Amino acid sequence: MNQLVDGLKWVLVAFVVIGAVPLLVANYQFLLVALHFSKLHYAKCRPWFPRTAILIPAWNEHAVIGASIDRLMKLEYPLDSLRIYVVDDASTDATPQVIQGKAAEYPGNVFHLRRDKGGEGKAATLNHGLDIILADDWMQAVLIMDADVIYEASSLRKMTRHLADPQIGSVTAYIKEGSQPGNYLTRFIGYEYITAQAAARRSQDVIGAIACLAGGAQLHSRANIETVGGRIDTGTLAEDTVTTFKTQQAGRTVVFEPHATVWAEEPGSVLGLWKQRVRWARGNVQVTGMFKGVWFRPQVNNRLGSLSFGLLWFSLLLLPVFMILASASLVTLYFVDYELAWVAFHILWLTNVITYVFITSFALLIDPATARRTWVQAVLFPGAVNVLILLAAILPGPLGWVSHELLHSAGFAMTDGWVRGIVLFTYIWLTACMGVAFLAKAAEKTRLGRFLAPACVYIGGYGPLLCAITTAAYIKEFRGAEQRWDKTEKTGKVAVPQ
Amino acid sequence: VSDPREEPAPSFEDEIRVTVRYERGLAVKALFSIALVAAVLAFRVYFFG
Repeated sequence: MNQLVDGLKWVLVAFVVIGAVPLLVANYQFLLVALHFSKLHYAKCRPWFPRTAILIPAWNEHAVIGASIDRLMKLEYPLDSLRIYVVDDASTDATPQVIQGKAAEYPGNVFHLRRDKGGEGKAATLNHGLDIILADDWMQAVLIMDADVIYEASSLRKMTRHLADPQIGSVTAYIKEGSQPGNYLTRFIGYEYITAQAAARRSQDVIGAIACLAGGAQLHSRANIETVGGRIDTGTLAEDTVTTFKTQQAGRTVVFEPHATVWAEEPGSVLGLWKQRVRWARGNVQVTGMFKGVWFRPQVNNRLGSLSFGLLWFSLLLLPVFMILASASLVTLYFVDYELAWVAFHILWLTNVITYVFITSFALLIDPATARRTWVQAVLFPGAVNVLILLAAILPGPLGWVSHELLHSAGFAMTDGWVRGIVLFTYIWLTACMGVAFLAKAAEKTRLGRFLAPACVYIGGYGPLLCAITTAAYIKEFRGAEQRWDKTEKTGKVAVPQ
Repeated sequence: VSDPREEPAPSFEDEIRVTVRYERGLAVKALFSIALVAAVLAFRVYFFG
């Protein structure tokens, strides 16, 4: 019996230690960013201006589409090599009139493609445009973007220069959150995009396998788009990722150009973010199954099957599972073997401290301009309570003293019972912080939502919020919930900082 | 399909040089962050065991 209990203890310790794996992988990913200079593609680049068709799917985008077209017409790109095709997905607002106005303003450069029957999703809308663009031989490259995305003047030419190398199938850019004025949530997203785009895509460049071309900025050579069938996948919620994988499976290289910057409007509410990210996370679950033959199976012509890429993909996909497993194991160990639980927690939390300090400081240095706007959100990314626990790991003495004094001033003594209670709370919080995200979502609908929702996100953390959304996406996907293209509402708040 | 039109871009080399310098700078920034982690750990071990 004792052997059984001992065995169980070590299994639980193993689960806690496994909880540190995504953290180690995150550190590995950021170390790869430091090596990005050794994998740059610029030696094979040259000034290159293929005839580029810009394809914009638009459904009820009257608030943003006009400004986006105006900015595109100011690109540092020869106008006779640029055509903008806006695929109007049976919009019911003033979108058709805005596009027609722009087509009249920029004859020969802007085209209005109208779908009379809409609502079939972004991929179907893009395919309508691709059918028309591919029908003649004018187009040599196609840029697929979103209606709200604002391109910096140099961005397209910085992307097309990579296509001078015929091995390159696709190029993506650095999408930044550009809402002006933003709010607490858009600033969290701004910081997140340093880690998820500027850093993650650089590390994927080093590995040689890109997970996803940003939906708002994906440039394909004509040869590439024809090789993947001239169609965008309509069967999943992650059509961008499917195209990215198919490109690489066909033996072509996908490049991230971090110095081509485009600006997008991201959700300013927890509900909006929830809707968008559930779609993305469900899409990733679908892609994982769709490409099940790829994972951890090295291929000759692409790096999707490499160990590094698999670790990056699954550590993100399974992060909520790791968190819940570690928390549940710690709570069980707490009752079975208090001392052993404390040791296991120390291993996990030491890894957390290292990861937090390394990634936060490095991410802020990667993009100093965004860092100036978002450093508060960067520091509080794991949530105020988790930051306090991290501080307690670094400064156990002073924080212990502060806790003691606080309790004393409230008329309590720091007894062993209090200490154990705080320890148990800490173990539970690993998972409970995700629960706070659900509270944030619920609170936003109430009259005090504009105060309660930010409070919940700051206390529970933006990172745990993303984990909670991923968990919700798993549940929806495994329940076989209806697959809908819930478009993120855009209001035209994007402004490019001068 | 004719070959894509090539445009003279006199600043191309300079632009690439600046970009490469920025990317090399990221390695230095990473070293700074690693040093920061080492400092935090050293502080923790030295003062609190």
